[in-house]
Amino acid sequence: MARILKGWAPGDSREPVPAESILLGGLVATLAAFSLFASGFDPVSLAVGLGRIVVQPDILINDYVGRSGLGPALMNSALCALAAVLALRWSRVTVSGPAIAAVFTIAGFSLFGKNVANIWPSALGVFLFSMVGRRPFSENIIVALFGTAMAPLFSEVAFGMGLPLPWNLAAGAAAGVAAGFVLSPIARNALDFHHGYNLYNIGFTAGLIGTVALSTLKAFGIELSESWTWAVLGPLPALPVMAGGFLAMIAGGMSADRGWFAAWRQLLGSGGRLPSDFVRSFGMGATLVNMGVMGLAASVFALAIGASWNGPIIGAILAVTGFAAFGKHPFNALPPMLGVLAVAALTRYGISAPASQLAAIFAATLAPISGGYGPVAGFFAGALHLVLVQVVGVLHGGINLYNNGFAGGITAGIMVPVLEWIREWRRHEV
Amino acid sequence: MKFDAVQLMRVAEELLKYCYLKGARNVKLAYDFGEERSFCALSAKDLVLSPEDEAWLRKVFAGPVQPEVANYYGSLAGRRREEPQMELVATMAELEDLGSEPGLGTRIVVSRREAEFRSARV
Repeated sequence: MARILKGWAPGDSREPVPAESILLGGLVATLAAFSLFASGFDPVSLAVGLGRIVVQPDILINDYVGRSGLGPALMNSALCALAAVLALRWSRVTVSGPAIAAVFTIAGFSLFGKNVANIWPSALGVFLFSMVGRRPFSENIIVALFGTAMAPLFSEVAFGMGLPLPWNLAAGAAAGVAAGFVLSPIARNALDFHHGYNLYNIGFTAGLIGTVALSTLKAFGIELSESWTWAVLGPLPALPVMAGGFLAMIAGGMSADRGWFAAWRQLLGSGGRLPSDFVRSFGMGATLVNMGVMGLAASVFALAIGASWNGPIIGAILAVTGFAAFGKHPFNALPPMLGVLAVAALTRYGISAPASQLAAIFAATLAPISGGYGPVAGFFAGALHLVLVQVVGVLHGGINLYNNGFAGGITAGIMVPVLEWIREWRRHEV
Repeated sequence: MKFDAVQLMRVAEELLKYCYLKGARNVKLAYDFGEERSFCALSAKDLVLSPEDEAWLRKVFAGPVQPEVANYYGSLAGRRREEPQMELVATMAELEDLGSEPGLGTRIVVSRREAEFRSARV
């Protein structure tokens, strides 16, 4: 590992086996191997489980681990992550912070909503948008990958409305492609609302599009399926495997870059506002260490709040780990997470509720607020995030998988102008 | 207006802000919009960068142009009053020349390759 990674820097023209290939390849291989182990090396049960995952609606929250078991859920995650990696290769983009975050997010959400069938329509929509605009697809690949948040739209229309074959597939694909087509321009404008202080910007965007989609369906009297799956599982066997992976990331990062500690200290001082590409700014060594540390921290956090080690929780930890290459570090992520915990304990929601537990981990989407305006602001951002995330899901009905990104966008959009005014007022600039 | 031209102007705006924050009060910007590649030159006669600042600028622009970052997040450039977003605009353009010495001031030249398929027709 050290030999391969040593001396690597973004933009380096040498191309032996780049660190990001080891990282992403390692993620896919680990998920696939864990899947085979969890399914008892039984390909038939894996195939049956995958089939069950594909042909059912996927609106929030549908835990694939609860629906088909850990093995098929992990294999679905491995296949979706592999598809994302291949898409990045095909687009010939530099695999740095945002790409790593996108692959880890896809791997995580492929445990509860994204699958090998439903991720394609929205991605195709983004591809068509690039073609119609006569721009390279590489410019929109990050939007396409994160845009798979709209994957349940395909599944819901195709398998949740009782339409006959093949019209159900055609209608589902058309809905997904249409959502993907408008995703890129709306996502860029959505940044203006929160100024990059919500890391899950596509979640905010997909929430807006999902609201339009749900409103349209309701206008025609079409109701969404009300499926809900949440497996209750202990930390075994997931936690040891994940902890091993995070420790390997830390070891890899340390051996890759002798100056990792100094770079990581600099990284810990960064605000994290979009786009904070840690790989580009601080190198792969410090980024890997940060990812491993954030993965371990999120795992300890999940243990501490008594979370069930099911698809959504494992997925949330993977997403946090991925975004540790793109804006999150322990100092800016923890305050909003604690803010969620405090308000969950004070309100009727409670921390034992699945939505509260997910919100506590995903609240790290507001890490740039604590990074930019201090931990107290981050804490209150997390507090506001919890009360919003419990309600805003109604708007899109769970069609948008990144509901925390939607709530985070609203939270940041409300808080940042006020925080900015306070900062300028204290400096006597207003 | 070409998207690539807009991106280059965003880069120039951040360079301008960077020089202002470093103390420059006399800054000139010049553009050369070509068919294949466009250039932007900044000249600040009353600013001499420290070796550390110069090294930092070179390091920031050392990474590759990243269209997947520049296109999506590019609109965030120029939004912060006191925070230059050099890391972001460095994904949009390449550093062609950087020099800073007493008497001559600071000169920075960046360029951006045309990425639009339709650039010849618009």
